[in-house]
Amino acid sequence: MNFTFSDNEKLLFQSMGSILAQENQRMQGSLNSQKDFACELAHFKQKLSTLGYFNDFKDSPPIGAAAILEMMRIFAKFHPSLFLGVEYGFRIFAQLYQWMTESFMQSLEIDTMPCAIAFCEDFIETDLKTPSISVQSVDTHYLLSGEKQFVINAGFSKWLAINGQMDGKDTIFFLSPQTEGLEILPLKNKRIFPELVLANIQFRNCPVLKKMVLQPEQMTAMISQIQVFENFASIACALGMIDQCIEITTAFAKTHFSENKPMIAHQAVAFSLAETVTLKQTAELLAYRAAWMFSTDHSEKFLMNQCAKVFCTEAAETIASQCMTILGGQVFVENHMIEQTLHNSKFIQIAGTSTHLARMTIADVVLK
Amino acid sequence: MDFEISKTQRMFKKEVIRFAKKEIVPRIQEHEIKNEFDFHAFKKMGEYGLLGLHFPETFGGGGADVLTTIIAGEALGEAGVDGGLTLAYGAHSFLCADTIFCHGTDTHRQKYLPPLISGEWIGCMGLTEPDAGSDVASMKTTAIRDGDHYVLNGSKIFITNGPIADIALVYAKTNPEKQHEGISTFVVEKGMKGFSAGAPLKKLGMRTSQTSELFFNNCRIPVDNLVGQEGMGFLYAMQTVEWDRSALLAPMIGGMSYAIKQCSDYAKKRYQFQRPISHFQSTKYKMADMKIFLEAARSLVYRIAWCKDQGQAVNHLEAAIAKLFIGDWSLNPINDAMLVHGGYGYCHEYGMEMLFRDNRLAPIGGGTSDIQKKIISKLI
Repeated sequence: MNFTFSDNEKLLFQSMGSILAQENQRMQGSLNSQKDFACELAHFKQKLSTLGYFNDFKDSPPIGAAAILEMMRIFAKFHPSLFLGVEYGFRIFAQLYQWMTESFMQSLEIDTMPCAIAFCEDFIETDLKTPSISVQSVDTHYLLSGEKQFVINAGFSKWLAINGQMDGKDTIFFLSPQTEGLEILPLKNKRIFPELVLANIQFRNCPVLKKMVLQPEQMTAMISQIQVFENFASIACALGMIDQCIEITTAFAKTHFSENKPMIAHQAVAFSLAETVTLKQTAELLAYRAAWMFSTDHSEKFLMNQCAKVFCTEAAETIASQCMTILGGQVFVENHMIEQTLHNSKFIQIAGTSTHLARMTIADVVLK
Repeated sequence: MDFEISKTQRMFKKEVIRFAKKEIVPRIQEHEIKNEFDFHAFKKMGEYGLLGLHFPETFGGGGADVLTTIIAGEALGEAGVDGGLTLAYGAHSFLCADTIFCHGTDTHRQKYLPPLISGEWIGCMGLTEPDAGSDVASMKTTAIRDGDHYVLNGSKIFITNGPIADIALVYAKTNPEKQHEGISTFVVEKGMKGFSAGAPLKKLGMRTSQTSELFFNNCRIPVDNLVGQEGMGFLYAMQTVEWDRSALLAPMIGGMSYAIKQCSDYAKKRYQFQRPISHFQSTKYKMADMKIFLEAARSLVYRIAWCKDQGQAVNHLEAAIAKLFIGDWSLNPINDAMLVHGGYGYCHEYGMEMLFRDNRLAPIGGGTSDIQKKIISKLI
């Protein structure tokens, strides 16, 4: 057993901190458009790759899986929207690769541009098993019609991976967002992750090259693999936002006075902060253990991934709520980080495996 | 990071569960209902090596590391051993014997450890007083030097193993003018003149453990019975607290595993509306929350054990976090375990009400949840 990070891993975290501090200065107010956001995703992809950020959880020595998760957390703390954009655009999309042949992968010509997965539909089963996409075969193309929801990075992704069924088989269609017949409808006025580009997409007789189609034998396993990494992204995002909330609130409680003493000297405030720290440390240990289990192919790796997902994302909501109470009225300003975390935490509870479904899955294992 | 426990530790855990199911569990209900301590089971624990697992072999101990010791405690809970017996074990092995081992003289160790480790003697620790609970430094019990003796006067309360202990490790003020620095530690043996224990207290839970007051009325004890240095008692007590927040929490973690297993078995057999209640999402939710709590709590307790094994000095923050989380956050899942059993959960024979009652001590004993919050908030 070992509950600490190696010296190399700690150095890596320091390097990441330095890079992000520089990036913070460079980026001041630069995320004004979708295009800016897309450029930043590509930029961070390059920057972070050099640190081993995108290493495979299962094959990552000398950087352990828990350390990769910690790097994700540091990034999420820096910028939650960019973090999710990068995770969905690269790491999560990359989970599809293991079901592709080498030549298929080459035909995708993956570069530094992010990609997007479009699996979610309005009336789809929560296990994503029954997509309602219609497919028509025409010469060298399939014509695709249907709708997908809540697609992250949809507007500027290099590829959209859309799931459907063809000839009774689970199928993934890869198409460019510029494809004729494809309409991208960005979600406006969303209350979550302000800069993150989230869109619904509609496609009517949208042509997809027949060679750009994947029919994985084990679609369930593939979806499950994607969800595991969506969950890890949610977990890291929760931890990063928790760090931010506690830092901001502790600093506030130490510097703001009430009844002639710092707020932290009041027991109600101090004890509330103690609860948040307890939740934070418990959440991070569970998260590290889940990452470690995944890297060692532990028999309970999926179970622990879901336990950590539920615990961490719900802890983020609880902590944000407690921090809001301490910070008082000033939090109710649009886009205040704590207020934003409260909204964001609901999203990450739903993304990947929703906490409802995760509980059902956990219970099924326990009740076996 | 590496969260693996060794194969030997896994096998050992299974063995402890097997031992406990055979030697202890069948006797619990009988003793619990009568509020009786199970001397036979305790002696068996000594024979099996559990009472002195982490002590050196030279004193009859097992020479195990802290993590293995924690795993043994977890295994007892997982087997279904009641909180009363594991509490008695904790007070005996960690709060009493371990302090003697860490701070006593060789004479103390040779005299007291072998009979404590074998279970021939039972030990307790006397710290809390009627008017000095969380505020240890306000204790009133005094130990005033008089030639070759200290004279103890005062009383202690809520002392686990108090009525049955052969020796008590007692904290008293050698310098009443001082606060923390005035506290010293002594071994007081049963039968010493002026030392007596009160009748067992009637408690909500932990009923097989015997809890009482201790009284010191001009109790003269030899100066040799001073443990460690004068005025260092508070520090010793705080070091002991680490055990309180690891080894004593471990059976609670095991108890949650036990509850999950019991609930799972029950929910699959119990039919309502033509289907097992395990098929209802409300039951599933409860089961999932129990499991999530268990895994979260387990990591915290193992971390303290690992820190201790690394020789890290007094891990106040980690220990307080584990104690607070398990103390406060365990109440709901344990409540759920009882609810899954419905009316049967409220009855003694199903074990859930005992677990529920025993668990109520978690946010109180060994430092209340409020004290943990105080410690944590000071360290952030």
